[in-house]
Amino acid sequence: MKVAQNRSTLLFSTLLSSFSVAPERDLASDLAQVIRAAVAEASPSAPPQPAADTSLEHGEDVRVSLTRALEYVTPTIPPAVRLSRSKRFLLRALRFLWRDQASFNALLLEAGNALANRVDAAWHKLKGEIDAEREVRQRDLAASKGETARIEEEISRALAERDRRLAIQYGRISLLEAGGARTGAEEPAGAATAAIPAGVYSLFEEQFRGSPDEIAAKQRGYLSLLGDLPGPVLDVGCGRGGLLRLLAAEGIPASGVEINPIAAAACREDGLDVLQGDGLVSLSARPPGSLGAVVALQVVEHWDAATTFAFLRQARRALAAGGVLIAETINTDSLSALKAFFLDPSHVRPVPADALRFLAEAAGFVETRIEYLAPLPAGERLEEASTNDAKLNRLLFGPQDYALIARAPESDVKRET
Amino acid sequence: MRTPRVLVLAVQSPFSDGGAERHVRRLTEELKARGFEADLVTMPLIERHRFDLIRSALAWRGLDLTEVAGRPVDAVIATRFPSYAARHHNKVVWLIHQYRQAYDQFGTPYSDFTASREDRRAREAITEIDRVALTEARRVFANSETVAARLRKFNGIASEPLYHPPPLFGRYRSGPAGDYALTVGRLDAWKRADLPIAALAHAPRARLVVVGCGPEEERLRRLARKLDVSDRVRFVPQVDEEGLLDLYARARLVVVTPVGEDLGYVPLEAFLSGKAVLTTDDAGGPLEFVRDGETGFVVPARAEALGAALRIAWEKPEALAKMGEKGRRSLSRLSWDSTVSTLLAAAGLSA
Repeated sequence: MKVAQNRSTLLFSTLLSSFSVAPERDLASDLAQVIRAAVAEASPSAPPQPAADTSLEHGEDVRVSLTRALEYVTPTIPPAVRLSRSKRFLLRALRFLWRDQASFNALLLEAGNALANRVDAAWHKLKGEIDAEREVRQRDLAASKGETARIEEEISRALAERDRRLAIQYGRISLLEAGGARTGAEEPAGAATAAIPAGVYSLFEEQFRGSPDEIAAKQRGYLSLLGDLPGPVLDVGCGRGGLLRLLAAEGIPASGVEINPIAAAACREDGLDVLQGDGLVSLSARPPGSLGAVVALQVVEHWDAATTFAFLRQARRALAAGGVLIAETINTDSLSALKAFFLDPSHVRPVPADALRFLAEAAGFVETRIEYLAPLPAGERLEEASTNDAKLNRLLFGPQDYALIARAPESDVKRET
Repeated sequence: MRTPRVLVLAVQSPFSDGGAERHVRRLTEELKARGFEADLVTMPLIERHRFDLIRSALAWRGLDLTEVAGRPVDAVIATRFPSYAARHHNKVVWLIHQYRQAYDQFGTPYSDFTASREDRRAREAITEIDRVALTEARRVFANSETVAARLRKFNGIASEPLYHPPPLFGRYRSGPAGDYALTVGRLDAWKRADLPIAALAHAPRARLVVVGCGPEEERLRRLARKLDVSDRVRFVPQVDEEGLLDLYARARLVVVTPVGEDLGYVPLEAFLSGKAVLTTDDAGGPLEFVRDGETGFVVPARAEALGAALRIAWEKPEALAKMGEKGRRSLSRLSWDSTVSTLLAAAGLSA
């Protein structure tokens, strides 16, 4: 507003000077004038006062008219015209004729100027309010946008946290059930997991063996071996029943036996045919030649050598001619895989592939072969630039598991007594 | 007749002794000097969580100061948020400033309030606390017109600006104009000491003294080197009171460039030292004192504009002296006497 006032003062003093001598300005305001002009020149886009920033566009027309009107207030004779001296003399002589008119003009101009100032002020006030409102809205909008992003992030964090807590709660439930199982039925005598409560072992598997989905993905490879069998499949140590589910989906008849009461109960709840108990005992109870396949995944490392051999003999006995044996365990030829062996406190003895194969043949199986499974991802192995690297890789970072695959002979001639 | 008892209420900032702390101590001393029994009541403001803010306000709200230690209190003078939430039948508020993060700073980098539900609630609560606590006061004064305008704008509460003298009041002196412009203040970003330094590039004969220290110091020194004006800038990070008075006394003019200052002692100190003030049109409080073309110059907050003003003003020391003198006369009524008696009159007491 100051500028508007300054302008009007300027206008008015110009007006005055057309009638009288301009008042002498003092030193300070003189300097201020000069500085104002210099500042306006130095930063033309931003005139000295903030109010001038939003100077009234409509008001400008009024001001231009007023300034132009000023030129007509007093009749003047430009020096260049002919007979200017005598004309000017005439003008002075006749001044009394328009003296009142000149005063009237000046007052009218002043009134017009004041009006323009008022319009200007009202406009600035309104514009200021509108701008302030807009600014607040923009800030709110910007803040809301940031907020939305933050909330989205928070939600995904909360979801992850919920999953984590859910896992913990499952674990706690398992522990509680383990307590119940221990006080109720006694654990099977001589079972390898007896030393560790079933609930704890369930949690252990949950944590270290990978999710049921991951395990199922690994086990899917066995399906091709289990089609067209001379009888149903028995999964010894079926755990959480991953393989049984895969077999059920393929329509292959199968049942399981699992020593961990929690895992067994969970399988049964899912409608799987699973017996809770010791795998060897259960297998021994099967009639001779009644099974199409015996599968024992990650089981033999829980047994000592005598039990393993007994298992192989019982499997051979219970399998029909041409039946299949699959025994998967940790690959002892790979040092990195042994870590997994020692991780599980219920493991008894690592079983080398050659030894297991020998025992299987001794138990009467034929067509025995070893398949190595679960290779480490390339990033975890040595880069193979030479044959030495390959040797080291086999020793250190070889496949994590192997499976013994064998078949019961077609004829019963070799059957043991 | 017994000596009237007055309590000054303020927010405490543990482990620090800033301007706000010195200000309320000074007020207490001024009351004592006028024969009152006066003391300071402080409590820290906890800002760890939003709810702590509200809890702090509630703590003050729980404080009924009608009587302390079995003796009646005649009046309380409350200063900052939320000390004015305390209860007393004769409460006068002298608002230093509101909780600015929830008001004018909201939506700017100076505030960490967001549009979240929690923050919105907190802002609403703060507004409500201000409404209740300030409308029940017998009278509300603001530290400056800038603070009063904010209170009017955001809370619709009327208040009167009540100015007070700067810390070294009575000791400022005027001396012959020297060959440097002076800028004083903590070197924080919002104090914008970079503006006068950059202005030197447009005022080839001017020199500048920068008094103060703070996080911006290194950056400012680099700026001076980059603009090739470091031979005309002198940094004075630490100065004692006498040194500061001296720097004011011998300056040619004083440059004040913060953005949105509440009050700002620097223009007052400049005028009391008889110096003209060059400031910017967004400075806030300083604009209440500096009259463009009379006691100083108000220009856009741009280095070129400041530089142009500095370049021309530099050559007119006589005119600057005249303006500074006018500035000093404009503060002739500034005194603790008038400030304190206004406060006391509002509380129905007289010094």
